This record gives sequence, structure tokens and C-alpha cells, in this order.
Amino acid sequence: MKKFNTSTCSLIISVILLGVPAYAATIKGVVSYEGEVPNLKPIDMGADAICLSKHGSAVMPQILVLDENKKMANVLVQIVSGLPKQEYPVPTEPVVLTQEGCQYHPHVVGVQVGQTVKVLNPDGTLHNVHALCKVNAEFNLAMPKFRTEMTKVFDKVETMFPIKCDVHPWMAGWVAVLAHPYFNVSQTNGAFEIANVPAGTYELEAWHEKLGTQKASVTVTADETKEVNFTFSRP
Amino acid sequence: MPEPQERHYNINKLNLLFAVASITLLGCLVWMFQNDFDREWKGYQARFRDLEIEKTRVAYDLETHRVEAQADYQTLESDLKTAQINFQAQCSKFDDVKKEISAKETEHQILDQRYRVTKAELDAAKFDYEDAIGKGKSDVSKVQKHYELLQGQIGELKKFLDANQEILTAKQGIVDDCASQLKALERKEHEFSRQSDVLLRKLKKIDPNEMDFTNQIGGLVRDLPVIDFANPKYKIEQVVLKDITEDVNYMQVPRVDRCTTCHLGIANPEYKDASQPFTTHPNLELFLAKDSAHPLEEFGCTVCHGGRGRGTDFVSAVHTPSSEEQKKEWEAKYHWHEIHHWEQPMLAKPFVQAGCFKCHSDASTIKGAEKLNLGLKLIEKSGCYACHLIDKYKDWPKPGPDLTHLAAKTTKQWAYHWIEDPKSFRHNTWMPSFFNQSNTSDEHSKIRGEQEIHAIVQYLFSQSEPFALDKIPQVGNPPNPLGNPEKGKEIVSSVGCFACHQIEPQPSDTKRDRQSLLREQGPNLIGLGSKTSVEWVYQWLKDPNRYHPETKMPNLRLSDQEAADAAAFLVQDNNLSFNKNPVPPVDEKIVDEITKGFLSKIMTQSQVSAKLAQMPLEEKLSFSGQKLIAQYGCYSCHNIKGFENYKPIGTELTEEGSKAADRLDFGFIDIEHSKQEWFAQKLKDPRIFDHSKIKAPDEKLRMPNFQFKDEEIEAIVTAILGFVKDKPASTILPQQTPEHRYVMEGEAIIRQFNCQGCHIIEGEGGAIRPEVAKWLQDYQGRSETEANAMVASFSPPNLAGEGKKVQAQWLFGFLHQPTTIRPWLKTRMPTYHFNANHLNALVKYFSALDKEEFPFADQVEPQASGEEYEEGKKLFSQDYFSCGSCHIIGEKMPSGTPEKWAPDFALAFKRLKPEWIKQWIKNPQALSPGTKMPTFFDPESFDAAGPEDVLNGDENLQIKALRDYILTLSNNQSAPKPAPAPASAAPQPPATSQ
Repeated sequence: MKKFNTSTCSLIISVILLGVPAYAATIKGVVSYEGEVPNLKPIDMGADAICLSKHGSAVMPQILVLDENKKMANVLVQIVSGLPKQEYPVPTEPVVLTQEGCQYHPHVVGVQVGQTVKVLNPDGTLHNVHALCKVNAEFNLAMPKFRTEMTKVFDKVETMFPIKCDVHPWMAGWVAVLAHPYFNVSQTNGAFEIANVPAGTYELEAWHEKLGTQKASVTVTADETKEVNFTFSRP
Repeated sequence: MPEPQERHYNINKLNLLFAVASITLLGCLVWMFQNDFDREWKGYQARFRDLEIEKTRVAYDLETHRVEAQADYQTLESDLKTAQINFQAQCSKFDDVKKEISAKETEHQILDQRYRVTKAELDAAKFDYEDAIGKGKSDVSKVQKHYELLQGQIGELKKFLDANQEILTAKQGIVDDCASQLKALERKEHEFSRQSDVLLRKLKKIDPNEMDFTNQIGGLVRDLPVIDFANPKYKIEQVVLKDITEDVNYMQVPRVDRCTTCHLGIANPEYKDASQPFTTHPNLELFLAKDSAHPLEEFGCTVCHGGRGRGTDFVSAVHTPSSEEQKKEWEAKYHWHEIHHWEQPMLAKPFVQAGCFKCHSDASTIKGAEKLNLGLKLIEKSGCYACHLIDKYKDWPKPGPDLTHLAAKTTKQWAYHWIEDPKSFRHNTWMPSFFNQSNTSDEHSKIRGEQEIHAIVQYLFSQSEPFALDKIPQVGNPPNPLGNPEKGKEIVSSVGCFACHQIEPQPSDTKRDRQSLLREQGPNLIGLGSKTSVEWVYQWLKDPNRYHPETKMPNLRLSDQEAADAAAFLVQDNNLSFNKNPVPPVDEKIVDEITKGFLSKIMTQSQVSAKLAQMPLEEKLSFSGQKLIAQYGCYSCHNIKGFENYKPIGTELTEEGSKAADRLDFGFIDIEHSKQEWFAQKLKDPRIFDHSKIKAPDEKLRMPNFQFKDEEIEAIVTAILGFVKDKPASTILPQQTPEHRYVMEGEAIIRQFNCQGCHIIEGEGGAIRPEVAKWLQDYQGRSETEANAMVASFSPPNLAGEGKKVQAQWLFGFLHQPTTIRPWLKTRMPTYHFNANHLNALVKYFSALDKEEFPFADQVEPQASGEEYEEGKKLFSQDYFSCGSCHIIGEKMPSGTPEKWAPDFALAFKRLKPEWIKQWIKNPQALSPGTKMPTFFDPESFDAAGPEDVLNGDENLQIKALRDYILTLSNNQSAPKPAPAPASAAPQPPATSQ
């Protein structure tokens, strides 16, 4: 165990030392939706009184979240090719996934290989965290009322697998486990931003759970900010 | 001049003759020796020896390099060097000490000697002294003096000796200490080089360059002619197999396999890349290796591969080429030719798996023999066993549908077209084609064939017994029959029809394998609307056994509404052009000809004419139809009235693989005269051996055409070649324990009823899963990724560990009359028409598979003390594990939709084994990966997983308490009563009715 820690530390240090040059470009943009907005039915949370009590008004499903300007949230944008082959330092800060009001927040989440994922259950009801991954080891852990927090680490690259709660079938979240830090999930205003990108030419991919993926190519020089926008529509 | 002797012969000539004769004879002798000495296999052994030397040398070099490259070794070497130098420097000065030691040792020995002598003298003196005192002798004082003198001497000597010993030990100690470090290092070095030492020793034994001179000479001499009987380097290697005999003209002799004489690297993984004949066997895990299932010493080679084990050259070992090119190559290279007198030639490479069957004939699938497995499955699917008796399938049901009530199902017109060319209706039907084949494609046969079909149809419909179809319930005003095709589609997609059926054409390049064949258990339902009526489909869905008592189609317990909807959907798919095809008219002239043919076999010519004249057309058709059904053997696959006691028409295939090729009729077809070629041709075109033969219509070959693809033919031929008569002795067969038998019997039933269409059993099956994923997408709004991720928990369960999980008695009842256990599944366990034998066999199968005791393992009655019961109840409650969130408890349904529900606790007591419940609560994912049941006790931190405030945080006690509490929830009188508990907390077992 001790050996593992030292080697990980030395790896991180060497990566930090080696990887300093020209990390300053930023790729940002906005994800928009085009076309008729589908009429989504609100979620019936009647199955669990606790879930129901957490919401004042009707709860809409998270499969398509748009703001008034039809900007899309929950789109994961990542660099899929063009990055130099190297190990990237794993952030020590955990990614937090909260089960609140019987929904996952955030709905789409990206983590790095080896990064800790902290799952919280402030709902005070039984949830189970069923990670339906194929590359990483599948798990299905219960979080009864008395267990409000647990942590998990994914150790292999695997993009977009669902996390479900079998007690509340409407609950679904999406996870991407990536080898590098160059990804971002669009905010409610559709904006995303990938910072500290080394100069180079990359292929970007935007993923949405229902509307598929889109690709774009982008070249950035050091200290440059490039804008790349994505537009999704129903097939 | 000497007088010439008077002889009748010329002595010189005679001398010459003798000389020539002796030289010739000598030459012959030498030639004989030479011929006997120069054997083909010696060349291989010499080549192998070179290869071995090369390999060993490489391995030795690699090993030496590997060792030398190790940092540890390098340190060791330098340490060793230092130690040697130190030893030289420091310990050399001890050379003098050593000399001293050796001098001292000599001295010590002399002293010791003297001591012993003096001791003996002393003993004698002591006796003399005692004797003198006792007898009062006069010289007492003299004797006493002598005794005391000796006593003094011995004391002195002892002192010297001890001192000497001390000096010796001390000096030796100095020397030993100095060498000890060196010795330890030397030992360490030896550890490192052990492997390379072994290799070096081997090299010294086999490589002339490494041998010492005497061995070199020995190596040369031991292989010389005549002398080589003693201990030659090159010799025949053989395995003698007492338990696997060979039939040599009415005598069973032990099999002797000499294959390893040339195949020298066969069991050695190091020769993986060597060329033939030295290559390693491709699967040492399963064969040849000592710890494999088939060690070389016990099984040899020819028991699986065939061929002549005693043969020691390429031709006499009866190798079989795998292709025409290989045959040509062998003929050129080895002068290969067929050895006709050897009945079991080696199996050609494509058919090598045939060898597995003779020992594993009772298995449904033979692990590792995929081609053979496919062949067996195709034989089952095509129903070969119905016409050709095959011992393995002697109890199997007929593969085709029952025709007893045919008129209720379809029309004469449809039946005509179907018999004429089944594949024009369903391109991938298993019904083979009888008409318009290679021996019946001439003009007259075609016309005759049309009338034959008319006759068969006439017989089938005239014999069809009445069958009342249930009316589909009517609703509405004006009343309409029930049935909404849209809803029907959803039912068909969800209840499980697609585990056995498909309703779409298959692309022509579809490769059938065992997994895809699971979904061909029932017919492909394309065109169903053109074949039969909606009423028939409705009736069939409601109760398949009413129409066909032996059908494998189970009852899905559909409600009237569901059945009507499904039927409405199923008949939507039709093939109008097929029904519109005109049927050629009945031609009485040709019908007469056919009838006459059959009549003249039983009566005289004039009787025939008289009989024919008084027969109406329908009778002629019906009479000929019956004879034709007997001729083509339709009854072998279908139940047909009037043919209840007929025997199958084909050649028995149980021992077909042992048949000699010369007993097969190759006709005028120019192919290689081998069994496999004949079988392959027969399967490709069953009528081919009639080619250019003159035969009457009823003498022609009649095997129908299944239109197999080439790779399917190869698989079936593999299976047929495996059907042999020489079964090895039971000592080498897989162990015939009762458990083994139960597993084999169970597997056969599972195969017949296609349980693996839905369930994963022994790691195979679950063919319906892609369809469940499709249903999740089409009807549950899931995306493809989501559907594929969730499919396991919405599909029929994986039955791994079923024997450990459920109680045998419950399983028996469930298989007989299934009830809903998993309310969230749309696929339902159908009701099969299992008889008691089937049920018992299946229950035994699951027990035997999990090595559970049968019939009933001791049922442990869980005993919950008052405290345990209370704690169990607490864990069960909403504040803790909240089991009721998902599980049904008798009549109390959980909230929400059935999608999230879980099995009823009321079933647990009768259904589950108590020990299994504990395992399940502990780690459900380990027992059923992908299950919806979450893990409450994270195995990664088990000791901290349970709540701290229940049962002192002891996880194992918590699991037991929860299990015991759950068992009290069953509506069962014998459920364990909790020990005295507060009245308010007493369980109220809900009244359940399933």
C-alpha cells in the first residue's frame, strides 16, 4: 500500500514537472437546440412520499434541459483526439454526485481515472447507486437512510455509462471516466469551457444522452481562446 | 603340364559363380541391414535432436543473459568477487593455522589412542587390586601402587586431551568464520543459476559439441547397426494403452500409439512454433499435458484422431489429407497413398472434433468442440434422427407439426405450394424440399411430381379429423372480434415469443451458430397470415397442446384479450403472391399411372386394370397419397393418421462413422472415395448418387434437400463421423456417477425445450436478451446504451446457482405450474407440458449441477430469539434497509410501478434455501451480476458496512437476523415462531394467495 502511494506521488510530481509548457489556451462555446421543443411529461414521484415532499412543483425529467433561449444543459464536451500520450495528474478534489429530491445532481458528470467520486444521499430515503458500467466493475450499492455518504473510484477509461436507482426508476445519471482533464459539461445557459489546453489541433466531441454525438475540429495556439458552438436537433 | 582333371564342370567357372553369388548375397545382407537400419523416423529424430540442441542452447543463453542482466545478480557477482578477494587476502594467512590444525589433529589422535590403552590397563589394574584385597593376597601394596600410578597417568592424559580439543576448536572457528561469508554467497549464486545449470547439463547430454570425449564416442557407437539394440539414441517411442483396445479380427488388443516417435514436441509447449511433425499440440490445457483431462499416457493419440498407432512411417500411420492440394503435396513428398485395409483412417483436420463424440456421446454440448456441437444441434433442428435412427436421440419427439387436424389450420392450396417448395414461402424453414430435385427435374418427373403432391394433399385432408376452433370473444356494438394488432405487437415483443421465434427474413449471409439457433426453436413466423386464420392462431396461443399434444410450444397463459391482440398482430404478416400462385390441375392420366404403379406391387396386371376402372379419382388420389407418404417418410417427422406404427425410413446412423467407405454407393460421381466426401455430397445434394442411373420413380433416392451451407455440412459430417461403434472401456470414460447422469439428462431436456432461449444456463443462452433490449427502447423509451445496460435485470434470470438457491420441492411445483415471481419482468415463464419424468430430471439436474444434496438437503429451521427478531425487524424497516420499498410482502404491494418491484417475501420460506438467503443479503451482485438488488454490505468494507446501532454492529449477526425475520413473513404455519416478543411487535403474517 505504501509503495503504491509513493509511486503515485512520484508520478504526479513528475507529470507536474514535465507538463508545464504552454498550457493556456481555452476552448469554449455554447450548445443550442434547434427545432420543436418536445413536450416532456413531468415525473410521477408518487412511488415515494419522501421524494414527492422535496418538490413544490412538478418535476421535469432531466433528459432535455433547455433555457428560454433553447440553450442546452447536460451536454458533455471533451477532446477525443489530438492530445499527446501522457499521464495527467489526478485531481485530489473529489467529484460530488448528490441524490437530492430523488434526482441526480449533476445529471451528467465527467471524472478522471482514479479520481474520487463522492456520492451523497441527503434525501433520507433508500437509494441505491447502480453503476451500469461495462469496462469498470459494475456495482450496485445501497444507500439506506443511515448512510449519507460513500466514495467510489473508477480505474478505467469508459465514456458515458448510466447510473441508476432501482428504487426510483426515473432516476438516471450519466458518467464519463476520462484519462485527461479536458472536458466540461454545459451549464443551464448552454455554456461550456475547457481551460488550460496545450496548443495543438484537436477533435472535440459533444455528447447528449438522447440526441447523440457531434464532432468538431479545433486548432488552438498558446494563450488563445477559441469558440466552438454545437447545435443539436431531433433526428 | 598337369593332367586336366576329368570333371563335368569347370572349376574356374564354378569359383567365379560362387564368388559372384557370395558377393551378391553379402550385398543383399548389407542391403537388408541398411534397409532395416535406415528408417524414416530416424531422420525425424535426428532433425528433432538438432532442433532440441538449438532450442536448449538458445534457452541456456537466454537464461544466462537473463540472470546476468539482473541487478541483484550483478551485485551478488561483485560481492562474490570481493568476498573471494577477501578470502584470498584474509584467509590465506590461516593456511599456517590449517597446517597447525592438521598437526594438532594428528597429535590429538595419538593422545586419544594412548588414553584408550591406558584406560584399559587401568581397568585391568583395578581388577587385580580388588582381587588382591578380596583374597588377601600378599602383593596388595605392589598392585595398589601400579593402580595409583595408572590413575595418575590417566588424569594427566585427560587434561592434555581437553586442552588440545579447546585449541583445535578455537583455531577451526577462526578458519570457518573467514570462509562462511564466501560460502553463503556461493550458495546464493547457485540459486540464481539453478535453471541454467539444468540446461547446461541437458546440453552436455545431447550436444556433441558440449560432450566429453568418451560420451562423443559412445554417442557414435550406440547407434551403429546391430549394436543399436542395447541403448540407442534414436528409438521408437510408444504409449501402450491397456484400457483402450483395438479390434483386430475378433480380438481386442491394447492400443499402441507410436505417434510420438516422430511427433516429438507434441506435449512440450516449447515447440509451439516448430514445423511439423514437431509442433506442439494446439490445446495442451485440454489434451496431453499430465494435469489435463486427457493425459498422453492414458489416452494416447489415435483414440481421438484415428489412424494406425502402430505405424511408424508417414504412410503406414494412415494420415488423411485435409484438402486436395494437401493430398497432392503429400503424394509428392511422402509417396502418400490410401491404406484401404485400415478401417479408421486418421480424421482429416476439418473433422477432427468427431473424435470427441465416442466418449462424450451423452453430453449435449462438448466444451471446446464447437464444430461438433453445431453439427449435433443442426441434426436436432433438421430432425435427421426422425428418419435415421440415432441412438442419442431415440426418445426425441418428432420435429414437425402434427397434421392430424390439418384442415382446421390451412387450405389445400397452401399445402400444395408448401410441399412443392417450402422455401418459397419461408426461405429459412427447416422443412426440406422433396420435389424438383436433381433426380426429378426432367420433364416427366416434374409433371408426375405435381400429381404426387395432389395425391399427398388429398390424403392429408381426407384423413384430417375435425377440430373445432374457439371463437374469438366478441365485443362492442355491433359486436366485433377482439384483437388490436398494435397491442398485439407489444405483447409479442414483450412476453417472450422472440426467445424461440423470429418474424423477419434472415439476410442470406446469416451464419447460423448455436446461439442463433436458439431463436430458431419455433418457426420463423413470416407469412403466417397466408398460412392460417386468426382464429387458429388465437386457439393455438390459448392452448397449443389441444391442437398438437406433443408440441414443444408452451402455454404463455395469455388472457383472451392478450391472445386476440397477439393473433391479430401475427396474421398481419402475409405472403399474398405465394397463395396467388396457380395450382396445376389434377391430371387423371398421370394419377392413374401413379396408382397403377402402386397397385401392381400387390396384384396382377388384370386385377390392377379392373381395380383402377372402378376407383373414383378421389380414391385414386387418396390411395396414392398414402403410398407416397410412406415412400417419402413424411410420417417420420409429422403425426399423420394411418401411420402410427410405421418405422422410420432412413439408414440408421448410430454407427455410421465406423462404416467402411466401400460400403457406400458412389454411383457415377467422380469424387474421392472417402466417407466424409460421400456424406458431404449427400448433404449438399441428397439425390446426386442417382446421377445417370436408370431407375423407376419409386426406386429413386428420396432424401429431401435441406439446403445446408458448406460450413453447416462440415459440422454435420463431423458429427456423423463421430457416430462410431468402438466405444472405449468405461474406465476412461467421464465418471459415470449418478450426478453426472442427472446433469446429462437435464441438459437433454433443456435442449429439447430450449430453456436457453430465455435463461442463461451453464453460462450459455439468454438468446432473448437483444429482443428485451429492443423492447426497452421501443416501449420503455430507453436509449440504446441505457437499454443494453439494463437488459440483464429485465430479462429472464440467469440460472447459475439455481440448485443452491431454491428448494427442490418448490422447483418441482414451479416447473409444473409457474407463478409470477418477478413482477417487473414482462417476459413470463410459460407453462410447459412437462411430464413427471421431465420435472424430476430437471430438479435433479439443478441439484447435481450445484453439487447440492438430493432430494432434500436438511432444511434448517431458523430460530430467532426475541432480541434477534426485534433487531431483524428494525433492519427491515424504512429507517434501515427499507426492504418494503421494493419487495412485495404477501398482498402488500410496494409503491410505484412494477418496474421497481422485487420478489414476494411470502414466497421465501417455501422457495429459498435459508443458507442462500444469507449469501444473497451479503452480496447479491456476486451471485447474480447486474441484479437490481443493491448490496447493503459493501464487500470492500464489509466490517463497517452495517449500521453500528444494531446487534453491536456485527454484520454477520445482522444478516442472520434479517434472514430470520424475512422467513417469518411467509404465510406458512410452520414458519418459525419468534420467541416471546412484545405483543405489539408480534408479526402479522399477511394472508397471501398466489
